[in-house]
Formats: sequence, structure tokens, C-alpha cells
Amino acid sequence: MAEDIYLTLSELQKIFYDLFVSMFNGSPTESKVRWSWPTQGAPAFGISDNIAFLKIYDDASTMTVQREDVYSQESGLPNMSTGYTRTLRLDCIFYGPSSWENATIIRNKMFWQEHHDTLAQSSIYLVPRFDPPKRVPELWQGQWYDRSDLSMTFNELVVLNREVPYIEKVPVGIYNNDGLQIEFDIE
Amino acid sequence: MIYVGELITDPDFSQKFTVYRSNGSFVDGVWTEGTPIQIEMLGVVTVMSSRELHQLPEGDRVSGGMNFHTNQALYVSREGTYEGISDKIYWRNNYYKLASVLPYADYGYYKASGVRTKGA
Repeated sequence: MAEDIYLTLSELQKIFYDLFVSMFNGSPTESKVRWSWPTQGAPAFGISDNIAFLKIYDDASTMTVQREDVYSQESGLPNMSTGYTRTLRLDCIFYGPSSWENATIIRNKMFWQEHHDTLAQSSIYLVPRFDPPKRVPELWQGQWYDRSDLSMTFNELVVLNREVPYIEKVPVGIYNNDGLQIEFDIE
Repeated sequence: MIYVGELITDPDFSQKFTVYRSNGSFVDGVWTEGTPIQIEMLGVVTVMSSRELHQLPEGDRVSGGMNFHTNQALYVSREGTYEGISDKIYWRNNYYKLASVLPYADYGYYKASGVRTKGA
């Protein structure tokens, strides 16, 4: 059966984590990029730490409505391939004294060809129309933590395959008044 | 200053419990726990909040919490050099994640409140 094209949550997280780390020119071991909603919780950060938090989820769009089914037969197995576009929303929250600058850097670098090509390897494509970062500092324990928010959407190709039910063979029997005369299978 | 620390380990009041101290790091942007450090402690355990039923559309959830008084330091989540998430305390077949610590070290003890993590 043909291979599905579908990225799981952990695969998507890895792709965008690596992309953000490369855009920050950091090494993957650095913890400047983090995913929100850690299952067991996670240590927070200091007021002077520049950190980006990411959230990813599906977004409704006109692109997600159309689905295309293609039937094929490879190696004798009939296959139904359903293709559609999934729209992903990536919310980025930047904290730290450089939060606004970092959000602006990410917004600009998203349009670079090399980052387009990286995402295209995973069938993910930026929707090149998204708002500039919004600066929304947060009051926490008597201090304002600088914060900037940036959201963007991506279209991802999804192809799911399934083996459709089919008739393997049809047994045929030819009878006359004396009973069964010929028996054979049509495959 | 009255030192009440000796009451904390008085055999008339105290009992054993196990503290699991977080020992993780960020891996690909996700906080990932390693093998926690296990610390046996002696202290006084009291009720913080009752086992309470929350009847949700998806099923019954049960909350609850306990207080742990001990003369060794207990921690909630912290960043920096000793970063980690809150201590978890194993007591009578349940884990309690610390939600608050009252550092009364000057009076000889720490009081920590933990919420039951099982949630059901």
C-alpha cells in the first residue's frame, strides 16, 4: 500500500522546533525555544531570558474543505488515496527584553527561501499573509515581563491511503439437467 | 524564637514519606523528566483539602491535597541553576505534587502543600 503523508504532533513539533532554533542561530540543545502545555509542568524563566514558546493546532480554512479521492491498483491491491490540505496555526509567544525584536526576526526569516525549502520537505507551506508581532507585556509579581505575540498559518498536504474492499475471485459453475458440468474461478 | 522542629520528627506525630525531586531538562523544547532523586523523609502529614468529587460530563474527577511538615527543604518548580518542577511526595499509594511551600526554616520546619496528581 502507498505510504501516508501525515505528520503527527511530535513530528510537527520537531520540525518547527528545529526551524526556530536555526532561525535563532542556536544549537538544538539550547532551551530558548519551548512548547507550551508541558504535561507535568516545566520550570519557567527569568525576566531577562529571551525565550519563545510555541503552540500548534489545526485551523479552519477554505483549503481544508476539499478532499480528493484517487483509486489505483498496485501489486494487485486496490487503493483509495484521499488527499486534502490541512491548515496549521502556529502561535508564538516571545518573552524577554528582546521579545519584540525576536518576533520581528522570525517574521522576516519565515520568508527566506531556505526556510521555505526546509518546510517544503515535509509538505508544509507558509501562508504568506500574517499580522506583524503584537507587543503585550505581562505584569507578574510586581514586574512587567516584556512579551510579543506572533501567529502564522501553514498549509500541509495530507494523503491517507486505505485498501478498499474488493472481490478476489468469483467461482462459476455451469449446470445442465445432469448437474454440475464445469466449475472454474474468475480472478 | 521557639524552635518547633523537634515536634516534626516526634514519633507520636511523624510518619515516613518519600520525596521525588525533579531531575529533568528541556529536550527539543519539551521539559523531559529524568530519573528523579528519591529522598526518604520523616514528618507530620495533615489534610489540606478533602477528597472531593467533580462530576464532569466526561467522568468523575477527584481532587484533594495533603500538607507535609518536615525539617528538610521542599521545593516547588524553580528555574536557574537547580531548575526542576515541583517535588512530588509519595504517601499512602498516592503522589502529591507540591503547589506551595512555607519556608519556616527559622522555626525549624517547612510546610508544603501538595495536590493529588491522580485526578480520578
